[in-house]
Amino acid sequence: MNEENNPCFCGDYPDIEYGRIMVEGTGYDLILGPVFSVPVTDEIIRQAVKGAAVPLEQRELFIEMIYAVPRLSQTQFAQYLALLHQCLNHKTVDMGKFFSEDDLDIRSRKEQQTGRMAEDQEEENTHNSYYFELELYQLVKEGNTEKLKKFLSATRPPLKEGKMAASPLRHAKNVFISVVTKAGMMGAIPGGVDVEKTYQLMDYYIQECEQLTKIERINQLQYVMLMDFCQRSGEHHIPDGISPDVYKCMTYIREHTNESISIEDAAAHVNRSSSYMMKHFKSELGIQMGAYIMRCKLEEAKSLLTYSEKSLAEISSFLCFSSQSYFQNVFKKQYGVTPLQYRKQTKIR
Amino acid sequence: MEMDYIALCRNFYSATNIPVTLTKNDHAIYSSLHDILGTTPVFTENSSL
Repeated sequence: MNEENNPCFCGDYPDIEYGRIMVEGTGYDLILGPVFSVPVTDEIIRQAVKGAAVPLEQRELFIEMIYAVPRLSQTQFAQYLALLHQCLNHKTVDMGKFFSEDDLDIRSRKEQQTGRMAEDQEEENTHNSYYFELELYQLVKEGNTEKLKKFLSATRPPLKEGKMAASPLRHAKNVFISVVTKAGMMGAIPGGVDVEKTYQLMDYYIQECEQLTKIERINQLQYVMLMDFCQRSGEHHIPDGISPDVYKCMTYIREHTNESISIEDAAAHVNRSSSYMMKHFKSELGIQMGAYIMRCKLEEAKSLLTYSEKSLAEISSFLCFSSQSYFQNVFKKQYGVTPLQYRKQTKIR
Repeated sequence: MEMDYIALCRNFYSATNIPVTLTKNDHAIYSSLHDILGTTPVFTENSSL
């Protein structure tokens, strides 16, 4: 290592980052790491244990320490290196130096790309999906599932999507990742779906897609995902006759079913008084605000009964009911069946 | 007077949770990892990383 490439990234493991700062003129070096830019998995732990040659009796403590290491992007990690370099050597670092390639590499890549572009053009391997995609994500954003269904089943010239991997299965997965990302960013989020929820869904769909081994199943999942995002966007559209204040309150209540929320909390969320909101809720929705809060909690309970393995006690506590018996009573009163009967009726086997 | 590099590494680790190893002339003289695992003395001037 010389002064020119000080500080620098170092390390041989693909998922683990290390960085090195030379304290110039002293013989001292600081090595930072391991840090991770991806979620810590068992495989990463295994690599880290191996890399650090941790004795068996100390592994538990070591793993605990690894979990305490913050998750940092490469840029954030580079900032720490630059900061220490500045403190120790009194020199600033051009952050670009961590990520830039030398001119020869850039030139070689550009030459390759130009050559491939010419070949693709000659062989008419061109993309024709731009306007199709614009319309597709606009429909996801609008939230009209019927319109989206028609659009997806309409006959049109075959779409050319370009080659995104060497194997057909990997190609289909890469296309899926690109579609789910665009459906989330250009459809669901502008359509009003909560940003965090959209990102979570994108992650879940990508993870599910990664498990698949047949292109047909990936295409099915893509269809389901597009319809799901579209439906969620539709749920966030303000229905006719509902004022923005009431709508914001409804959304707040729906998104906080697992908290012990009150009418005052929901009203404060839109900077209105409780009496103002209660009056408008009743006149616009025909339901008392307290009853709406309860209904949202019970709807969430239905979803948990159907799609999760949580026990009644867990569901009742998760949704902040004062007791399990109270939860069971209100559920039975609202739907005419007990939570357990409901679970038996709807459980997907 | 030379800076106390070990103290700097300890403080950096306690502030950021990013493990640090300090070497002098390619010999490890401190590592948060060993500090945490309780192996003392951590490294000597002659031990290698």
